Amino acid sequence: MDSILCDELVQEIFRRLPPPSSAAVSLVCKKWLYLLRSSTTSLSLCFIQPPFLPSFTSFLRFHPFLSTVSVTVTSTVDSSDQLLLSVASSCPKLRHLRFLNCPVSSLSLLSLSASCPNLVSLAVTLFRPLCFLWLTPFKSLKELSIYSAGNSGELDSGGLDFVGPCELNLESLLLTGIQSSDKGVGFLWRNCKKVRTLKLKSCEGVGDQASFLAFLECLEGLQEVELRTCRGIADGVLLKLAESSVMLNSLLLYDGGSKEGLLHFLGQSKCGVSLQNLDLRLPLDLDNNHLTAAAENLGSLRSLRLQSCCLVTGEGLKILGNAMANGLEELALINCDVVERESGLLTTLGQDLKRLRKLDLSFNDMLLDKELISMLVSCNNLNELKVRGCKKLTNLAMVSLAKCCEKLQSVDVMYCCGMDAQGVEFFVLNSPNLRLLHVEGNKVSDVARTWASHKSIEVVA
Amino acid sequence: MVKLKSNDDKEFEVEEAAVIQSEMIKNMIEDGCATSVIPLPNIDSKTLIKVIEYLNKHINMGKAAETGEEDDLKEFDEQFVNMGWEELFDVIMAANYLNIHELMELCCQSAADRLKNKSVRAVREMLKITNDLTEEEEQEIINDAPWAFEGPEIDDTVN
Repeated sequence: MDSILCDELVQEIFRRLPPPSSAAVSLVCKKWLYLLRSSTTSLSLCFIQPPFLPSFTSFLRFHPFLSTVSVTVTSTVDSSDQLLLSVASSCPKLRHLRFLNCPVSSLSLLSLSASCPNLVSLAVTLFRPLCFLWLTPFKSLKELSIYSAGNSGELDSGGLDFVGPCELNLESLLLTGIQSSDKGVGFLWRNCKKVRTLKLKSCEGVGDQASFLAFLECLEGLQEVELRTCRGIADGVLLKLAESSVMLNSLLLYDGGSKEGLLHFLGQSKCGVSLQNLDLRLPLDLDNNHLTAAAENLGSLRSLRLQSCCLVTGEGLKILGNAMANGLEELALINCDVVERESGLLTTLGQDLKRLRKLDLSFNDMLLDKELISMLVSCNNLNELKVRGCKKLTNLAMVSLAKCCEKLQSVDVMYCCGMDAQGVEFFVLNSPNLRLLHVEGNKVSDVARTWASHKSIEVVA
Repeated sequence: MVKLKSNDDKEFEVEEAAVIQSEMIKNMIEDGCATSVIPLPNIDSKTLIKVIEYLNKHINMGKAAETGEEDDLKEFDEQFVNMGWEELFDVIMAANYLNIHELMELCCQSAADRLKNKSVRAVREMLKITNDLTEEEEQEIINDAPWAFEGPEIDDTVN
């Protein structure tokens, strides 16, 4: 191969090899070793035991064109800073780095900024006290993910934080485990004027009092917000978003937000015109009042996802469905017992929501065939359906699916124990546009498997 | 019709609709440089026949999708790449030179699929490559990054 093809074409072939075959070709001969190393741009390394540092460094140095590196160490290590420094000094062309599980110091992050000036996205774990001054020299950084670890035992350098303003170019920010005592976060809020996407996970707070005002200001320009298990701050964030955010496009709320807080947001927020995606998971107090408020105020909604809502009834959902008849393209009612409780609800929703493209009814384990089928009859434009874990559904549902929804491209029937290989086979053979099917391997007959491979249908178990 | 000439001086006539799947020839036609025979000094007639066969079959890609002939095309592609290594490399080089994106993709993927999960010994034998790495060097590469070599079972057969 090397005598006929030029280096560039050999590398073209190497690029299509999955690991570890790509590593194996490096042992074929010296030229291939060189060609492979100089064409590798992305590496994902996961260590159970920390690697031997010199060999880790030399391994990285053999790959001078790395632009994406992911390093995860699953055991506790003392040498995390050295590992990061090794990456920093060995990969000058780095643009994306994930360095997870082992906390690193500000000092080594500063070295990283000096060695890898083109870094666009970075995910790291930090010790407390949190400090973000090291971000200043990262001029190209657009995406930052921070995971906070335990205390390093160092003294809080709080005062150091009050340096002059410096503009950060971050557009997307993910923070995990922030507490109200974390003074350092204020630096982020004060200097991230360009952030459009904010994701907070398991945050009890957003920093101390001084940080809070800056945080509120930061919320105004956001387009996408995710709050996961942030009970302590969810209401405050919702209130501010409702008041001042006119650009908000997407909101995900998982386990947080009081009854009143949510009602105020859904009914009064100024982002009614811009909000297109709403995803509420485990909103314990969500009831029909909320849905009515959303129906009146959120006219631009394209995607509504509700998960584990136990207080809403069919009445509320019908009002919502009716109000959003011409807009809604995606609906998810996951583990919502109203779906099983109220016969005929799905039929009405199906008839109203003419533009529905994606439907997710997963984990409604008492959902019956006739309920689903009477909805699908009206949903001819559906191209994605998930009924994962709907245990009562049978082959009958599969047959109607193939008949009513010709445009389906992606279907998930994992853990539907009422269906068997026969139903799956019928569905696969009679769905002209199917591209992706999630189903248990033992429910795929030989006929279905052959057909799927012939039609480029991906079957995922 | 467009006339192509291989490096062993054989001429082939190809429909314009087929031949413009080659970015290179498409550009030549657009620039008005394809009025007479287009000489292809890097491609022999045996390889050019294969390439033209592919171009003619793929001439109406869009139409095939509409009429449900995609499967037919997929089957053709599978048969098409069923050739020896040397022939495959010749086609890859021709596809690269003529800039036929889909053909390039098809053949490189086929080459990668043939190398996938093969043992080092099998790869050397298949492609008649002489090993110039000493045993120590080989061991060093593995020892440096043992994690990179962990994966599915390796196939030692040569085919």
